[in-house]
Amino acid sequence: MLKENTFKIGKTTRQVEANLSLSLKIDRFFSKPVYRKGLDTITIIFFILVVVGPIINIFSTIFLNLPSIYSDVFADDLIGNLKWINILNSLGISFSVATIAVIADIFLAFPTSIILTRYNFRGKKILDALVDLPMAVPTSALGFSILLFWGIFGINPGIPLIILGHIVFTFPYIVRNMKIVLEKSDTLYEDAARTLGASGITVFRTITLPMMKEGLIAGAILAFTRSLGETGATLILSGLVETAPILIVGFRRQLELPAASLLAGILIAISIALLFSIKFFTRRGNFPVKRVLPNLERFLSHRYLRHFRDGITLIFLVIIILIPSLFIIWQLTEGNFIEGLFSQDYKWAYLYVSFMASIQIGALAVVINLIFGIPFAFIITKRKWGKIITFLDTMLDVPIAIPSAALGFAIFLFWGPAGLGLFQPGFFMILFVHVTFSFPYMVRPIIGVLESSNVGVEEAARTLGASNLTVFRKITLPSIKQGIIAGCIMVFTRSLGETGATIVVMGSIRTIPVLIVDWVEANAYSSAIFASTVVIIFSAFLIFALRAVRRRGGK
Amino acid sequence: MVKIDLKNVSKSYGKFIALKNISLQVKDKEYFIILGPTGGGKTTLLKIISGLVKPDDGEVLFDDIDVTRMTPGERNIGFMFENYALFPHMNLVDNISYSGRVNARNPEMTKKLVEQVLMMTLLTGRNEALPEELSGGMKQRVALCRSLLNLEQTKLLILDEPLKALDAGLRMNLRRELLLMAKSKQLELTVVHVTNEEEEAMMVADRIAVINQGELVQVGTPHDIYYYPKDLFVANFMSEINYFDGICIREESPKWDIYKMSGQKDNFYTQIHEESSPILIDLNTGDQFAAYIKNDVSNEYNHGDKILLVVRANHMKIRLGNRLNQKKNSFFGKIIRRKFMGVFYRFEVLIGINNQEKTVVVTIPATSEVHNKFKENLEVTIYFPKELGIVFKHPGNKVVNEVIKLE
Repeated sequence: MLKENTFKIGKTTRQVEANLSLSLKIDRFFSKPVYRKGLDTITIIFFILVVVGPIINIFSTIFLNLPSIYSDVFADDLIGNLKWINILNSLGISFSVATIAVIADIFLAFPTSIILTRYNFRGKKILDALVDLPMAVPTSALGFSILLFWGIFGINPGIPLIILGHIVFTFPYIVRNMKIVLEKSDTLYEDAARTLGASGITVFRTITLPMMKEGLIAGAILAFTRSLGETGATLILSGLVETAPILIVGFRRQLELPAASLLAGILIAISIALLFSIKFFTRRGNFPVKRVLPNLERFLSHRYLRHFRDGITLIFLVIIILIPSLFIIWQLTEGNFIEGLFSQDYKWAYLYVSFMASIQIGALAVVINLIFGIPFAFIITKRKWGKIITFLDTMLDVPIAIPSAALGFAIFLFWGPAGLGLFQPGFFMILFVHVTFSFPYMVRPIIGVLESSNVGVEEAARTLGASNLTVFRKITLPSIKQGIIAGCIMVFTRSLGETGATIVVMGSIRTIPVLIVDWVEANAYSSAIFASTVVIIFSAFLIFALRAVRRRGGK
Repeated sequence: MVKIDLKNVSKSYGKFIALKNISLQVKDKEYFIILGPTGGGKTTLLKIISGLVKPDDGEVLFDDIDVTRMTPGERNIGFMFENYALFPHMNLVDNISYSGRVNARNPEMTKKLVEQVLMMTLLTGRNEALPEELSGGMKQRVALCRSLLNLEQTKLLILDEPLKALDAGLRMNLRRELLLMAKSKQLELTVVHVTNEEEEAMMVADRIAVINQGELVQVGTPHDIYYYPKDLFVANFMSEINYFDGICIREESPKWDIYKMSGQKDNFYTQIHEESSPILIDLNTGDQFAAYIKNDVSNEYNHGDKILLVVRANHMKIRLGNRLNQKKNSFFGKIIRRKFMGVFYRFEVLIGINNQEKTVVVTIPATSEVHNKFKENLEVTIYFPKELGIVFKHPGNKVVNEVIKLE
């Protein structure tokens, strides 16, 4: 009886097979487990070669070349351990700058994120987009704009200016993380505290703050690592001061590879340690919620003081963040950029060539990350491999956390003439680096939509007889489209704005942000202003596109 | 000691009108239930009473004092939230003493009070426990303690669907416990409780306000809401109903004794006969039907008015065979479906009325053995006691379809 039934079912399947359209037949053929396993393997090999390999390689290089590093950095015949002292100095400066910038950001980000989530007012969306803008604009253009703005007040390149710059471009990372937590958190607990008689500030300190702890710490550490690794703006704002990534660029320019690899290794190790501490610290550590100063806090919660605080926040937001970021557009009307661009040294041609190079690299990085990013996101969300998934998931964030100059140098060591020798500095190596550091920006949004997407629909399609690949093509792909588009735009903007890693591996090619750095260093201000304006407007356009995609996804 | 007055309260969020011109009064020491479907404006009403939301229009008075502009903290009320809203990062004692700390009350007093309520609610020994480590019942007691500790002169406790997310078994127990405490004589609380469960409402309310789509539909005692619902929505919200289109007869004298009590002379039927009067209905079956309507509205029904007769499924009675001659208010038909529903059996009976077929639902408690007699395809007579017939003006077929969700 049973056998008969099985036979019948088998027969109908064969009949169905005969009537399928070609594309569905192909789907069925490639839905066999062996192809899925093949794709998984290729994706993971890609991930290991591109992300994990260079990082492991830099540590092994350091260990294998300890003697030469020692003789070069610590006991040079001529200068002794001067390079080591330089390295320590630069690390000290980088850490102080990052710490001060993040603390300043947090103070400004608290009221800003509350204004952007809990209030309703006209122009809220525009303010929200403006706050996000520094994240999308190439930091070198941003840095140049900041240099010009504070130059009016006589602030010259140096540590204060570096701090002002780092506050601007790390600010969106902190606000965004706080906003996400505030938007997700229910106002239920806040309401409960209010009915129990807590005033505005007491509610914030005892209820809201402890709940947004995770977002706060994650945002702060992300901003800290970004500040630690920033190159483009810092090159413009630093003058004679050398932060750690700039020192790497310097070592690389002078071909002092042992010193560069040591510093890159140190930076990568610190960043990975910071990354892991996110997961550790968000679970522990508490805010003081027990002690309450009711009368003082009630006084501070008074309506007028609240308006006063909001006003101060907006003023700081405008003066410290918004005007300096966009100041350069206004500068365009001052100088005569046409004369600068069309002078004898063909600056307009350089501008055109680097703009095209930036766009090509960005577009190719998007395509490659798309091909490997979607299967990788699937591996993270759908495969049940336990510890391996946890490892891959953590490693995925590493390229975001480590300074791009150090990452660029690690890739240069691994794939360049000193390592496997497969690539020479130039277009393809830049592309390679850009693929690496933008990979997480492609995968994270896709993981986000995959995790929130409705599994039931896919299972329903499967019970109706669709093969795995058909389900993917017809059901899954359309439902994660928003995440994929968001990922593509993120990858493109990051690739467009990157400086540090590009300088390390670029050879003779220039991308737009590097070109801006070059021109600023060569005092060709009017041309640099023009290039920066173009790139800022272009990025602003991308940011608005990204927000449009997110909004549609939200509905 | 507190009574609440809401005067013409309205609230809208953008284009969505949450509350339309609501006026109601909650008496001192009353257990007042606000009942209605999800999204009907109940929670908004609570938030307006507590001050979490300011009304667009209208006033809120506590003991004749206008509190419309006061913050929630200044109103000193106890508010128990959906799922209790215990602060997840504070332990049990910190949760309970929160209001004492943020209001700068005497710390010694607060400490004493906390100890007292912990003793009262049998929670001693778990002082350091975090909310996630507590059982459902403990959470409820902590939440109740926390809101009670905030009460000063205003002895108002507000409950916002506190039992919503619990599973059925636990909910029964916790409901009993909660009501025991909220209604306890010592505390002398005025309670405003929001729920969407008619069972919960019936069980505890002194009075019920039914709210639907932002409008106050009916306010009354559970008895009134159940036996004299003001419209089809209220009738249907309480239990499954049957409805018949009919015409009011006022001029003819009844062909049968509509003043005689249907059942044995007991208190319930006596009460119905005292507070309401009979009305004759023509359902176009060639027979006269009768139902009882409340005295104060009985003048509003004139001869020839279109009306809707509603009979609850559990008020319908069923007998085998054709007994149209013996029973008044009766229909003859055939059982087309018989279903065991746990607490009761549910029968669908097909009757002919006005040259059309109509399905009438009858339920019988599963404990009575008679349900075994009624099988599918048997011919039966169904009837209802005239005291349990509900009548109101016909709202039009569109409204009927909307409420019963036929379309």
